[in-house]
Amino acid sequence: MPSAGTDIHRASVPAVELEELTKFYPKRRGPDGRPIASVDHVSLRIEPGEVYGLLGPNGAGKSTIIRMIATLLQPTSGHVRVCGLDTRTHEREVRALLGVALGGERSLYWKLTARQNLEYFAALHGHSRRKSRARINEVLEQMGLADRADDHIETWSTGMRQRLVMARALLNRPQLLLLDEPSSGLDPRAAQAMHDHILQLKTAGHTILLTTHDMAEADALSDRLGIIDGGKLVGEGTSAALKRSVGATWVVHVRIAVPTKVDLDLLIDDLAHVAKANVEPEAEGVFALTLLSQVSDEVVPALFAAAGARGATVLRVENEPVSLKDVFLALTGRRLSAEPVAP
Amino acid sequence: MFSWRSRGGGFPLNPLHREAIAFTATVRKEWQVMMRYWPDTTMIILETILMPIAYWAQAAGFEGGDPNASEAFAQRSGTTEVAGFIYLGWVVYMWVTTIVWGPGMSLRKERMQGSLEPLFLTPVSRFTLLFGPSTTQLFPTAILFTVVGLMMRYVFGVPLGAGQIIAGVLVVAASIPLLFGLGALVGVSVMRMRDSSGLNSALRGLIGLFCGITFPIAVLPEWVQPISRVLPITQVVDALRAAVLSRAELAATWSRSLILLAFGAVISASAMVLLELTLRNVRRTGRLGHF
Repeated sequence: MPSAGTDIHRASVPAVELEELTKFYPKRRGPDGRPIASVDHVSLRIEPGEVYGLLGPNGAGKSTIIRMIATLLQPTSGHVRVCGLDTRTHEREVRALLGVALGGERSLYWKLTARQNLEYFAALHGHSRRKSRARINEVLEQMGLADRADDHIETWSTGMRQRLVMARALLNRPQLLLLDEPSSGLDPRAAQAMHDHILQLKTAGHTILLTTHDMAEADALSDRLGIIDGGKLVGEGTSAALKRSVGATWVVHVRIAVPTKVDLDLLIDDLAHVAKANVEPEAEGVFALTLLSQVSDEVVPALFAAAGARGATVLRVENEPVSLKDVFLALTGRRLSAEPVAP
Repeated sequence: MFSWRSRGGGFPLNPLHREAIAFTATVRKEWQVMMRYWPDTTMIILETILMPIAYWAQAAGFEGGDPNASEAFAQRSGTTEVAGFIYLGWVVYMWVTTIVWGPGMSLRKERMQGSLEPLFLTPVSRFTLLFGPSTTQLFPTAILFTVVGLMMRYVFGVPLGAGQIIAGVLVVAASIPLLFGLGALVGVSVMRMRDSSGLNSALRGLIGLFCGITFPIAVLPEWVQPISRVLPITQVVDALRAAVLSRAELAATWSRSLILLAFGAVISASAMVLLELTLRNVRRTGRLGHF
């Protein structure tokens, strides 16, 4: 049985290991009255020093997974191991290894200063004000907050408060950082600043598990990604590998008006030699086509030729390299949005 | 030399020392917030001074200078000091109010604002979470009792000697675990509620009615009186009045204080058990971080 305090031992085991992890909330049921799994037999491993992004829409089960890893939530079945320690049997030891940024800016005491917030949490870990001073200065510096440390945080921006949440998570020199939607609610500039800080932590060798529904964020920050939908892990790998798994290098997004469904089917057949098509109805006679192709230059001319032949009108065309958005679409048949998935 | 726990290392201190640091920090944090809102505390002290004057004036109006009325009050309350009787009841009521509706609600507030999950991720004990915030309230409570004592002595001429003051302090000190426990019990009970303001108002009304805050319990219907007498808050009010106004024997004050301590131990232990059960439930249902 692994024990706490042995870094050498831990280096040989995954930072996180989920084994058939499942969670049913007592009152979550479908229209037919049957219980719905919020997390459904998820298994994954995160290696030490790795940044792992859990990507999925709101309600997909990401936060539930992170809370089960953090020991805040009891799994219905399956196992969670952090640095080899099972969260069911080593709850206290596991918590000592974690730095958790949950609940966003609300989880701070707004009527206190940043320093007072950190002093309080350091003390809850058993460190007196005098003894925690140096470490508090260090994390404030690390998150770029040192010059405002003695301001009441009610006067701060959302981005600064989010960074303070991160600083709080770092206080105890955690083995594993759990970041739940770290840039949620931030404007693009603040989100970029947050990304820079996460990348610095990554460079410093931290093991990080972050959840996000933002594909660009997941792509920019993660060494490996897990794509989660409806509680299931539907895809996993590096960003490049996931994109390769789509079987295309380019994607053409098309909005097209077609006289009849038959014409649409014929048009798709016409394009089959250059691209694989995914169709979503948008309005009466108007469809969104996603064309996945290995050959970018041939798709658009072929599209216009086929549209002309079938009496269709191309309303909009966008050509871009394959992104995680397309990976999600290929894996789930749906576009990724922040909207929760209906049960 | 101090060093932060190395990655994955154990905690640097023994559990008792660590808990003492956490408890002190909790008290300090509440103090820092309280000091930002010191006018609130001032208003509570003002209310404690002013409201009993209204009750006293009401009593004087009903009495109408009739000596028989004073005699009837003395028979029912055990004292002729109407102002002292009301003030002591009221100051306990205000103490209960500040504890139950301040620190007692702290867990619920933490949950509402999203800080409860980060708190539970630290090794801090349930004891500190439940009773740390109440401890901060001891300072304004001490001011409250002092001001009330001064009002009784110098405005209403209630005779207060050193003996009464010591006996009163003994009763108040013995009531601390009871009040803390009560605040914690209510606090844990309302953790699962979305809106506890209705319950708060109901509790305040019930305490005012059943615990003889501004009137002797003897005026309540006979079937209510035994219930009222066993209520913990009634015990505190009765013990305080007996010690300060009726000049009870020190031995009697000691024994009443021991009863209050026993009440406090039982209620505090119940609050901790209830908190544990609640936490188990919310870890299963996922409601620790949701509100």
